[in-house]
Amino acid sequence: MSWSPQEEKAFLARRRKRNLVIALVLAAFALLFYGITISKMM
Amino acid sequence: MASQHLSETRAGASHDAPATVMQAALPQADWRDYWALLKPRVMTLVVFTGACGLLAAPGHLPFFLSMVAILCIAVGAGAAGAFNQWWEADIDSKMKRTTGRPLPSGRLGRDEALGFAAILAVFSVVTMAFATNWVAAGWLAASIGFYVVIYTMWLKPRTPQNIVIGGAAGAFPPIIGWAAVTGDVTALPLLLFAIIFAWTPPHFWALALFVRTDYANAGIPMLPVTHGFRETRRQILLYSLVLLAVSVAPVWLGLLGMIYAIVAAVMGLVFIWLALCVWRNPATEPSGMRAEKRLFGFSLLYLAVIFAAVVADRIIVGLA
Repeated sequence: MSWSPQEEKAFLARRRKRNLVIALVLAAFALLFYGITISKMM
Repeated sequence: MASQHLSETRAGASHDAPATVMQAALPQADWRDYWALLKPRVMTLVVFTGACGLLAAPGHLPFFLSMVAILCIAVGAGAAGAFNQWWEADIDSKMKRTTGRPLPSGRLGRDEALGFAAILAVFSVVTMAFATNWVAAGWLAASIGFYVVIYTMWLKPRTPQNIVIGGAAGAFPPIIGWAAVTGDVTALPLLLFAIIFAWTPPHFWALALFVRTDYANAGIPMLPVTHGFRETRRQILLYSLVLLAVSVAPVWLGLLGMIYAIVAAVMGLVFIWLALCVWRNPATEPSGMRAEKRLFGFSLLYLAVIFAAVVADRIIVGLA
């Protein structure tokens, strides 16, 4: 028995959302450490 | 084990797997479940007292680094909360107050919760060290370790004194905030620690009195369960007296001035008055425990006002 189109769509949507969140978290992490470095230099 | 099975199922999911497996493979948790794992209401108090420690400390920390330090305290507290829910998932499923949490309700697996907690704990400590200093980071790591190992795993399921000693875990934030600015720990942050330490037992026991059945059903040896209502009410009163003595100690030692002295005295006396009302209340059913609910509510206000007074006193004295 295979995935129904709705199940596959829901799965892909959730995976896309999770990947987007991970990308945002990584970007925020990089920005945070950049900000800390600049603040300490000043 | 269930979450492990679920993870394996997810990893091995393919398009020709049975529908039931596919249903299990779909992640059920969303961001709200991860947020709930952090115990955001507890985090609010931790952030507030940590920020007060940071503001009351002598010296200067750039605004951005101060915000990062407060973020680290918040994330560290969240990590401790997530570890707590990971460890207590079975107990939480037996208590009405906690059955809706992400783990007992099955929306989130235990492995996911553990991984999430570990990542947050490491992030908070490393970032704190990088942004401020290793003293603050060390205290932050100690507070997470104390809450998880000493309180959650060791004391809470074993002794009615769990709240007394375990309360120390929630008392660390002002020390961490202070250390983030100064790089050391002196008498005032230790006294702020002592205030939260003395405040925790009457605060939690007031709550434990009116949710006693929940704790009894879950087998948690809270004082009302092991020693009854009368003894718990007596202990609440005694700790309220200790709290007043500890809260005015910074004035005796010349560390804080008149603004704080007046606030601490007034709030402490009201606290004792409400504790006396609890002591005199013979009720054994939650419906008759208005005095306990009033003390619990006031205790939250008490801590906020006392710490706000510490900051106001330090800032005004600093300006004078």
